[in-house]
Amino acid sequence: MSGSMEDAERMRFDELAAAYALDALVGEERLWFEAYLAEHPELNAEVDELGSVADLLALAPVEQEPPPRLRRSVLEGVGAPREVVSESPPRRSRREGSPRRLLRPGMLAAAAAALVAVVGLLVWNFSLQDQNGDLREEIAERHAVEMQESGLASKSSGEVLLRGEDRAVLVADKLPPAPEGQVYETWIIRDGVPEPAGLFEPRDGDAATAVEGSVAGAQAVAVTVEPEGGSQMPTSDPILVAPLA
Amino acid sequence: MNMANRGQQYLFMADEDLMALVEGEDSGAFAGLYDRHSRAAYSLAYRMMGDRQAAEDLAQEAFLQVWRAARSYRADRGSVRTWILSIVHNRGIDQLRSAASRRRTQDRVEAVAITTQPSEAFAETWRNSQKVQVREALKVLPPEQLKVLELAYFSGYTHSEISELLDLPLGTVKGRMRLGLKKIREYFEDRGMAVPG
Repeated sequence: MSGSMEDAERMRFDELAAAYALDALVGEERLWFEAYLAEHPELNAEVDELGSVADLLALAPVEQEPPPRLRRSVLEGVGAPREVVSESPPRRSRREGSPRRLLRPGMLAAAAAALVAVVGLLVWNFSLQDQNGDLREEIAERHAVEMQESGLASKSSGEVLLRGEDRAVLVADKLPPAPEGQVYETWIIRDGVPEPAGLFEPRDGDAATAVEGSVAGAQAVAVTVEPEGGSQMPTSDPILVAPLA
Repeated sequence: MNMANRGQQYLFMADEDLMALVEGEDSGAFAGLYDRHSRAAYSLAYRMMGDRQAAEDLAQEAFLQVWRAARSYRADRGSVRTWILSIVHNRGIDQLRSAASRRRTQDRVEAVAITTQPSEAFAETWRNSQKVQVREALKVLPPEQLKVLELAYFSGYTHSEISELLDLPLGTVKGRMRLGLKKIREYFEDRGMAVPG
């Protein structure tokens, strides 16, 4: 192949790579792209990285609560014998099986390990309106980060009050009691990994609790509703989030 | 170990460990995975299908595929969540492209355009820090790039179809796709952050 033809083919590859990552190539173009990729395995990493970026779009939709019947249907469905499936997913095997070079597969395991250190965490359960007010005054001069509320806390207001470089206190108003058998759990999000940062329960709608652990370098402080006793990893979506980074 | 203790145990397990149990046909572990990721999966399905029943069907099919194909999951290739969402996405694209009734009209494009206005798309409360970061990253995109990415990713249009729908040269569509993904990647790199997986 002449140099100019090679250049032209590489240029075509570059033009199509993003469309391929978005699954926006079909037919002859897709076949050509995959054939070219097969001939140039050194380009796989580039394509996989673009795929990783495209995959982020899956996190963008507005949250929708799945109906309870969906859970029933899904779990009933797994009672059936498994079908024989190939190792490769049905379509676009590259995407579903693609390496995620920017990922750190051990992140969750690391978080779980970190959790061990937090088992038995001191639960700072300021169940008190008066103390809450005192606390607010005490740290009024500190930097406050407003929390974004949703779900159970959609009518609440929360703040994370940063104290010094690494300490923080979470205060919230109009927070309803956690559902029966559940509790609120605070998390420190660092490098995308949630670390347990204490359990709390509001009283009369007010809560003030120390964020257990250092928030230095953290991306966010979040609150979820967890089973009584807390969780190692969040089992529900955050209802309060304070972005710190 | 009784069922209650076993159920509690699942709550303390990492996704990858649950996947290993699902591979061994542990339905309790599968329920644990469902509880962690069903909201994100259903949200994506709803965004793609635009209809609750269709979203339910898609999410159900996807989770059943998770159960059946658990052994094809590779932890070294990405997070469980990314894998599950990719299954939802791929099945959704298949359905959108095979739907005979698929709308290819200008109002479809305009409807998408409306939802992509930053004031609309990002007004919802952010649910967690990763989603916050992703949505922040999308906010830096010019609307014309975001529209092209969304038409491709959520609506399943090919670059040629987007070119026709938006009455743009094909090269422009390709360029916007390329620049859009590049800007998202740069958003994370500029902040010294890994792309969430």
